[in-house]
Amino acid sequence: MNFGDIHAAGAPILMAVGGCVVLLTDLASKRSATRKFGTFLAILFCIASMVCSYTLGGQLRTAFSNGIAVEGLVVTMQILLAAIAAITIVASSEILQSFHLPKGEYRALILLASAGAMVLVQSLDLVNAFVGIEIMSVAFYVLAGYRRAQAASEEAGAKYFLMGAFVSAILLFGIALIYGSVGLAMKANGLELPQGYSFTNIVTISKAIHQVPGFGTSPLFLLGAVMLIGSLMFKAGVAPFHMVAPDVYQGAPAPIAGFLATTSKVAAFTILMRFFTILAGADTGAAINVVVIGLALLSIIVGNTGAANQKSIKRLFGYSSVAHGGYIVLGLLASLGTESQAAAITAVTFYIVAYAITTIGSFAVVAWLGKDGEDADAISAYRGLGKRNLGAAITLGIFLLSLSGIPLTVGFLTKLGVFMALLSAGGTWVAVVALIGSAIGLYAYLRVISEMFFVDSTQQETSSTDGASKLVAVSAATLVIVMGVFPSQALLPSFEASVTAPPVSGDEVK
Amino acid sequence: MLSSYIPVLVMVAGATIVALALIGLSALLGPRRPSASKDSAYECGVTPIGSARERFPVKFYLTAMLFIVFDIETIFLYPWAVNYKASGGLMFFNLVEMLVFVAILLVGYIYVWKRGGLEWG
Amino acid sequence: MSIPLNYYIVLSMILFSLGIAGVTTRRNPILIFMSIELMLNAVNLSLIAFGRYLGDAGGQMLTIFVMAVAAAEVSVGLGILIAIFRTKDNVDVDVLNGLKG
Repeated sequence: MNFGDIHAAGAPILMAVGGCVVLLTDLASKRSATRKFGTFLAILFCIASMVCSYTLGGQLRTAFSNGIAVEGLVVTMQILLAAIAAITIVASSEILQSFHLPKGEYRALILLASAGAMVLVQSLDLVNAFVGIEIMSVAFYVLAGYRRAQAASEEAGAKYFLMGAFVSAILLFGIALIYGSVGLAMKANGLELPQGYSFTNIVTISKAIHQVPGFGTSPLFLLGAVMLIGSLMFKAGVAPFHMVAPDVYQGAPAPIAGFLATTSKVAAFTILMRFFTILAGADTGAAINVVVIGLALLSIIVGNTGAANQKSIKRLFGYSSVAHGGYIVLGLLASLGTESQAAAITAVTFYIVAYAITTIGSFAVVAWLGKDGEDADAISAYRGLGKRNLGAAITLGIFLLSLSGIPLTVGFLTKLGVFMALLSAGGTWVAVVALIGSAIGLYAYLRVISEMFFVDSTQQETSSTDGASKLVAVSAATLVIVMGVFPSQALLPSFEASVTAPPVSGDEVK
Repeated sequence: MLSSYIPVLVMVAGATIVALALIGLSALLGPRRPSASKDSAYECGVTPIGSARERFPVKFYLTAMLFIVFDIETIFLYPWAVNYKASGGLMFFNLVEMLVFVAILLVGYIYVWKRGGLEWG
Repeated sequence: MSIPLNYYIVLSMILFSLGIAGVTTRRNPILIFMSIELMLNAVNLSLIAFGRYLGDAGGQMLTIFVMAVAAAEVSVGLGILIAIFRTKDNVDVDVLNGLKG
């Protein structure tokens, strides 16, 4: 325990401290002038957190008795999470104002949820992962039901809570089974617990998998691993627990929905990436592969067909997030093969970053076109938008094209990366099924685009006052195009450089 | 092994048999002369007013919530207290660590207090 | 002279399954939540049994975390349910049917 440890965990610590400070300053202040100060303070802490992550650099360091490990991938994700939090806080000033919702609590919850997500992202010990995921989820339940007077928001909160708590229990049982099976296997084979590591540490699990013959196929471990993987995928909104995601995104106000969709995916998929690196090349039978393929294909098909005939655009984005979760899981599947691992991790990282930008932007458009803070949720409200508000129509069109994976947008490159990794891992038929799913999804997105540009409408345009959402949407759309047109020059190298494999190959254990 | 639990099993079986036998005997042999006052829930004392299965005011839940949170968090103090002396050179650090923990709880407490969560009515 | 580890694990799995059954069949959120608590406590039992058997304090430590986290979840859950109760005067999951499609 020293200063280095605190520096390594600095990003979540700063976010959590920021949450407390924002909460207390809001309590102390009553005037609206100081309310602006609260936004400023919250964003300051987000930036401090980003700077702290950035100064850690790309090299691996473990801290807090090997409870956490930070390297390039984690730093990238922490910066992304802090950025999402800051953007959400800026973009939701309008809805908070219109509905007279408490602002201090809102900012504090966003910061605390991000702190939990960061703890999850950097955890090397499953105990830390559990605590992180719970900090994040509990804040999410409140955020989903944040618009208390509105029945839909309340309902979203209650559904999310009941389902989330149920899945947390399953996650926990998975951790308990892994803990027990690792301990029993090491005891039975006379293996020593690595110095300074606990039984729930990913490094220890890796040692058990790679050094105990037959451990990877033992039922206790497999049951635990499947429960762990399945419940983390729920947290990321993947089928078959997907029913909650569209409900929550429809019920929650648009900026909050964007925050929930992105933060949960970033956090859950990063820890899954780390867990999958220890499964790579290990003899785990077919069970884990079958479960992962099943979940991925189910999400892609359910997500894309569910999106096909939606009347609510937020619900469409909800189903779209289920489908995109499926594609990311396909990337994770490719990371199970030892040869395709590096390419798969790069593809998944890039996919997560690009998805976060696109989703934040799409929900920002929904908030931007809304009236008096009420989101423009019905797809019929977008009819003829190209004539009334060309800028908004083009912005939304870019996001929809990117979500469906059309070239020149970033969505195409990310899908391409995942499919290439999958093909080199030998999953040809899986890729074919996923492509069919994408074709169904294309219909859903193009339907909205044709509503906007090729259908006339008599609706009157109302001038929106939500400047912050407009700014977020337009800059995200620009990023989507820039990242799509100049992939290698603009961003890809920095990702490749920053993604180093987590320190868990089993041989590195002293 | 498990044979050491046989006395417990015998005890449970014995208790069950005796209890059932006594209830059965009184049902068979006892005279039955019911009356209105005997059928009431309390044979003596105050007559109950209304059912006990009423809905509680939702306020109770709020208080229960706050109680649970602050009550359960103290669970961390126990393992800390037991191991505190053994921590040797890290004693000061451990003290600071626990003070940080208590400070976080304090933030929550101040928040609840200021927002009026502790007021009834 | 002790109960074998398997007994604890089987008991914990039975309790866990009962919890799952409760979550899937009950209509009242409070009862659903009680079932979830049963699942969490089943996990606690297996964690403590494993920890005791392995001579490792990690299981007990995780159990303490689980209890603390469960308390926080209960509070938030009750808060959300109270909010629903105030608008609908009824908290059965059947009334949570506004979001569809």
